[in-house]
Parts: sequence; C-alpha cells; structure tokens
Amino acid sequence: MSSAADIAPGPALVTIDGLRVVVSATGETILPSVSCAIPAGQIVGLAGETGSGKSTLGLSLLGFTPPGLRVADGSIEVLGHPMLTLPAAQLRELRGGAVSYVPQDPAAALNPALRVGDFMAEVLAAHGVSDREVRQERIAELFAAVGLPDTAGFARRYPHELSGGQQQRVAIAIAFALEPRLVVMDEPTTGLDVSTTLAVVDLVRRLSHDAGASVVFVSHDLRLLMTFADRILVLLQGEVVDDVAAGRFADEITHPYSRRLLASLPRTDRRSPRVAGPERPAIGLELAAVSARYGSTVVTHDVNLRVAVGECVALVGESGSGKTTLARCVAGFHDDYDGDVALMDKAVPRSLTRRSAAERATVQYVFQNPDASLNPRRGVGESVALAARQTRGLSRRESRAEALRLLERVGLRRDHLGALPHELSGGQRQRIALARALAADPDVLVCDEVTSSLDVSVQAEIVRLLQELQWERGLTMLFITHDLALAQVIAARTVVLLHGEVVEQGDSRTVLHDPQHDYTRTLVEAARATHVGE
Amino acid sequence: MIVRRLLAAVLMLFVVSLVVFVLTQALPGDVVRQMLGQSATADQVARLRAELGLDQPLIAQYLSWAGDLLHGDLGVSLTSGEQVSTMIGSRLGATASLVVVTFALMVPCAFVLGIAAARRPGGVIDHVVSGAVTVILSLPEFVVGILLIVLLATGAFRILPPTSVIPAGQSLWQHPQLLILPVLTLVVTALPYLTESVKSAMRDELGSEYIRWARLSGIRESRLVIRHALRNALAPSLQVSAMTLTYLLGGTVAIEVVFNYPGIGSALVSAVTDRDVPVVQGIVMIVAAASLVVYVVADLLALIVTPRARRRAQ
Repeated sequence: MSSAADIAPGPALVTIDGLRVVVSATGETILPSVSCAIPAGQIVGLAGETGSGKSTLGLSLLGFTPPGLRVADGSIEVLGHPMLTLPAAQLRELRGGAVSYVPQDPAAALNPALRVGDFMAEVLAAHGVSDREVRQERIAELFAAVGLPDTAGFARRYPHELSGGQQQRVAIAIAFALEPRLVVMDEPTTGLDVSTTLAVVDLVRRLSHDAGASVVFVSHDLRLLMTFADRILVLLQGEVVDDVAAGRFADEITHPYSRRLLASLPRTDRRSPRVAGPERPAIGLELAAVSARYGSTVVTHDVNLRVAVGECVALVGESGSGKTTLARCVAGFHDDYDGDVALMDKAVPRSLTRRSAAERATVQYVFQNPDASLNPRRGVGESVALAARQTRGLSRRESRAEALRLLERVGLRRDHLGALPHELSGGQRQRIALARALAADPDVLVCDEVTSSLDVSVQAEIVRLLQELQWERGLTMLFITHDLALAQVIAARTVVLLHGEVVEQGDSRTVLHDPQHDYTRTLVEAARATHVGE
Repeated sequence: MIVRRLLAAVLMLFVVSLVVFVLTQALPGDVVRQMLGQSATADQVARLRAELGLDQPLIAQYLSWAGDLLHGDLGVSLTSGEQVSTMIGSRLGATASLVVVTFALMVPCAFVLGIAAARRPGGVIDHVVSGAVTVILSLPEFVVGILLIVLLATGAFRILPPTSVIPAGQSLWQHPQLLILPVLTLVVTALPYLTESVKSAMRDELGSEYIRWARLSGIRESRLVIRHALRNALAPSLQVSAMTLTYLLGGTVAIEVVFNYPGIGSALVSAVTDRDVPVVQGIVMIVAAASLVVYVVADLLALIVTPRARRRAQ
C-alpha cells in the first residue's frame, strides 16, 4: 500500500508556483498566474463565482487538466511530487491514495453499472490492498465512519438506489479510503439541501481532523466556508485576490471583490451589531403608505411593509385581500397607487416603463401559473437565456451558458435545455420560471402563489429549492400565499392582509400558533384543515 | 416486463403473417395458368384452382394457411410439389452459416475498432471508421459484392471462386472457400456502421463524469475502458448489434443472388419469379420470426447489463 506514510512530507503540503492555464484552442486565459501554499492539516476554502477558475485550480492539484485546457506555465508540488511532470504510473498511484478527489455531482460521478461497494473495493485494490477480506472490512469501516449502514447489503447497492446525501457520503468515504494527505472537494454540497449540507460539512471536518489530511474545499458558498474552513482563498478571474484566515475573513480581506462577496451574504442574525456599513443597503423592499386603486375602487389602504435584505416575508390573505395587487405594485405592473415603493434603499418609479434597466432587473416576479407565463413555442433554455440577455446584456454565448447553469441549479437536466414548456411537468415548469427570474440576477424576488397549482409533494420540492436559492443568493423575498402553514415554513415573518389592510404581523411561528386577529384565526383553521396529519 | 415483450413479439408475428399473406396475394400473374401452361382449358384451370383451395374466400385461405403454420406446416411448393419445409430446410442451414460466420467475425472487430477509435478521438482509426461509414452507406451490398468479385476472383487477383455453387450431394462445409467472398462482402457492408455505433457509445461513456472520477481515484486506464466504460456502452451496442444481425438476414438476399449462393435468399428470389406463393410466404415468415427472436434476445441481454433498467423492469 503506497499510502501517505512512505512519502516524505515537504515544508508545505502543496506549493503552487506561477500556475498558468489556458484554453488550448484559443489561448484564452483561465488561470493567469496562481501562486500559493497549503500547509498540512488545514481546511482551505476556495471561494469565487462560476468561471473564476476555482475548479480548474482544484483539479490541477491532482495533476489533472480538463480536456480542452492546457497548462502553459508554472509548477505544482504536492507532497514533494511535481504533479505536472510526474510519470503516468506514479500519478495514478497518488490519485485516490495520498491525493484524492470528491466530485461535485456524485449522481453523475458514480458509475451506474457498478455497485458502490465494488467500486470502493476497486479503488482499494488499485492502491495495493490486495486481500479481499481486508478490503471488505475497510469498506464496512469507512461506511460506518461517514454515517452509512456498514452492512454488506448496502455495499451491494447501485448508485441509483441511494439518496443524493448518501451518494455524497459514499464519495467522501472513497476519498478518505486510503488515508489521504490532501482531499480536493469540488462543490461537494451543491445539489444537497441545507441540513444535508451541514451534516456533510461536519463529516468532512471530522474526517480531515482524524486523518490529519488537508482539504481544499471548492465552493461558491462563502457563508459555508466561513463556518468551517481554516483559511479562505478568494479567486477572481483566476487570480487569488485574498488569502485570509476564515475566522477573520470580514476584517482581513482587502480586495473589493471579496467585500462584495461578503456583502451579498444574507444576514441570518439581524440583531448582530456588525451589520450595515453605510454604503450597504439594509432594506431590500419597502412599501410606504401604499394605497392601490383600480379606477375609483381602492383595494389597499396605507400599507406599510419593510423587508430587510436577505429576509423572506410572507404576505398572507384570501383572494381579494389585495396581496397580489401589492406585489404588482412592487414589480411595477400596477402603477395606479399613492405612496412609495423602494427597492434596495432606493425609491423606484411606479411604472415599469419608467424604471431603468437596472431597476427592472433588481426585482423579479414569479407567477402562480408557469403555463401562462412561459412562451409555449420557445425552448425553455432559450426563455431563460433571453431573460439573461435582456436584463444583463449578456452575449448569446454567455447567456446560453448562464441558462444551462441556472437550469441545472434549479434541478433540471442539461437535456431539458431544448424542451418546450408543454413537454415538462408542472413542477419543472415552475422551476424554469424560477430560473428565468434568477437569470436577471435580482436582489428582490416576488413569488405569487408559486406552489398553489402544484401537487403537495412537488410543492415541498419547490419550497425547498426556494429556501436554498434565497440562502445562497441572499435574496430579499416577498412570498405571497393563502396558506399560513406554508408561510411559516418559508418565511421568518408573516404579514396578514384583510380587505387591503394589514391586520396582523410578526414572527411566523407566533402568528400561526397564537393568532391575535379573528381573521388570522380563521386562516389558521383553514391551514390546519389542509395539513391534516402533517 | 419480459412476458410483455414476448407477448408483443407474438402479436408482431401475427401482424407480419397478415402482411405477408396480403402482399403475396398481390403478386402479379396467375400461378395456376403458369403451372398448366397456355394451352390449358378453363375447366382444367378451375379444377386445379379448387384443388389448391384458391377458389375459397381470402379470409378462409388465410385461416387455413395460418392454422397450418401454427402446426409447423408451411405447405407444398406449387412448382416442385415438395414440402416447403424440406425445401427451405437445406437452404436455411447455408444462410444461417453465412450470417453466423459473418456476425461472429464482425462483432469482435467492431468492438475492438470502435473502442480503439473512441479512446483517441480525432485519431487515425476514428477518421478511418467515420470515412468508411460514409462510403459504405452510399454503396448497396451487391455493388460491394461485384467489386470484390472483380478484385479477388476475376480481375486483379484470381484467388477465390467468383460463385458459390456447391456440387450436388455435397455440403457447404466441404468447400469452406466458397464462404469467403460472401462473408467478406457482408462484413465490409455492415462492419463500419456497427463500429461507428460502438465508437460513439464508448466515446460518450469515456467522456462521462464517472470515468473522470474513477481516473482521479487511481483506477488503471485499461480497467477504466473495459470494466467501467464498456459496461455502460454495452446496452446501446447490443441493440445496434441486433439491428445489424437482422440487416444481415435481409442483406443475404442480394448477396446470395450475386454469388449464386444456395441459401434461402436465392430461393426466395426464384420463388417470387415462379409465383410460388407458399415458398415465398414460408421464407418471409421464417426470416421475420428470426428477426423478432434476435430483438427479444437483445432486449433481454440489455436488461441484464443495465442495473437501472433491470430494476425498472421488476
């Protein structure tokens, strides 16, 4: 077994010097010139947006350059081995052994035709664990260590028989199978929900601590990195612009891009004293004494509402309570009102036609019925790409790449790109509608009964997706619904509207469990009736 | 699932029998007149017609034919008076030999070449395979056969017999050299397409995420290709192999005529010329049934190698 033990540790575990990676065909630069060092036993977060070259940098630590790219200059030393010039046989020994990798999407990275235990055994065998029984024992041990059943039955399962979280645990178990010194993880939590993400991160921390392994954790999720990494490298267009201790990230960063990344984080603790620099908007959405009219009929009366940046507020009421009208005022679809609407601390013109392109992109609206809001003759990928072009002025190529990224983010497959809306399910269409809204890269998202035309199970999926997206992007969200129980799931704060007036507002839990207004009580009854047995 | 596929195959066979029956009825010319010659009287013609059951309504004719078919009775040849089954039987072996030998040579070649081409996209083998597909697809098999005869039998090199006539009373296997040219022709026509299919299936798999991860986990290249990629490329390749096999069953007709090969293909052509309806029907039904069997077997094999589909099937 050629594992970590017989490789002499250098001064630093990893030394990257002047690494330059370009596109082979065009010479376009992916990484201009990266230099950094990683000591043993550290968890290093590699942060940056899509296209910042963070995955390419991560893969280069395994001596791997993705097809189509080429290393033009520089050197990488891992455990004293020159990864870029190492003979293939030695490189193979290192990979999966002393230097291992956890892929972004384990569903795609696990061979559908191989049982998970068999693949793991194969990795062990490839690194010299030739005894069958030893392998079997080690597999059970590893599965137990990552919190999976250590039974032979589990090892005999195929990847498609596991949940997403289980697949990721299998991938992590394989990466830690041979006492690695360095584990590269490429966005390993992207497809997972929030609670699974936290469990996976916890696991990574424990395993790396036990094994004394360094972890390079590639992620666009700065908040996640701040909670569990030792150090964070911020990558911008292939350059390391900041390299600071994770615990002092906010104080030590110097580059404006890092500040921007930090500022775009949603705030979970609004009472925290270190919020709100003067230049940063604190209120994502504000309605000040809004009275909306249809001709001479007034439908809302002096409604005041504030939603902090990164907060989600539910607006609850029956049909006709004026909640959709308010939302339409926010989006600029309805301009016949008194009072003011402000987005990101800036008052905006009433009518959409008088708002600037930036103001239009700031707020995006997701409708109740995706069938009616998607062009039936346009491929859904093109619908999303078109939104990105029109709101952000992206080129055709960029917008298509963005559409693909968003589609995958909302849980659709690459091959859905060319599908027409009617070829997709209702839940999938609502996902497309979400992706299209996100294509504008909005600060504020208005969701108008987005789940009410969907089946209950699909509803739950969409709500979870919304929660993730809001968390990831720090979206300010106005969530309109008639369902108080749903409001409590997604929003911290609930505002109840009756006949165009706010009759009750407060913490969602309190509103649901201890309603003050009679009308709220009837809504609670209604919610109980529809959620029997939950 | 398996039962459903078998049922579908049986239903298909029934539809084929209907189509075959109707189409053979539509063959031009009158078999009775042909049998009796121009001098036959109207009375003689009517008598023979009644004897052969040809004066019955079409539905009755179909039912009696299909009923006999179910008992394994293919009827009697109108021209030779022989049982169709014995007539076809001897020739069936010759055709089956041709198809099986061709297929057995072709499949390993296709997989070896296809995998080699997929491992080096843009390499020499890749280009040769793609080029060969384009050229061969535009050439009918009889043209390939004739070109090979000119090249290897009558023209440049005279090393092989141009026709495959077996002396009376001897079997094909006493003259294996007679097989070479027909087999070669079929291999040349069908190999590029199968190779291209294997190549593209393998290329998709080799470019996949799971291959990248297995490579980054230190798995050897040879294992990546055989154990990891090929396993997933097998199901689509099996389907194409089945298609190729059924193509060969049909493709032998032209080849057998070109080489005067004593199989069911050449028998079919002469039966059509003679308006020998029972022989035509028998041969077509046998070829159709064989094709269906091939597809069902390929489906089952694909199920076996794809764990995901296997679970769905349960």
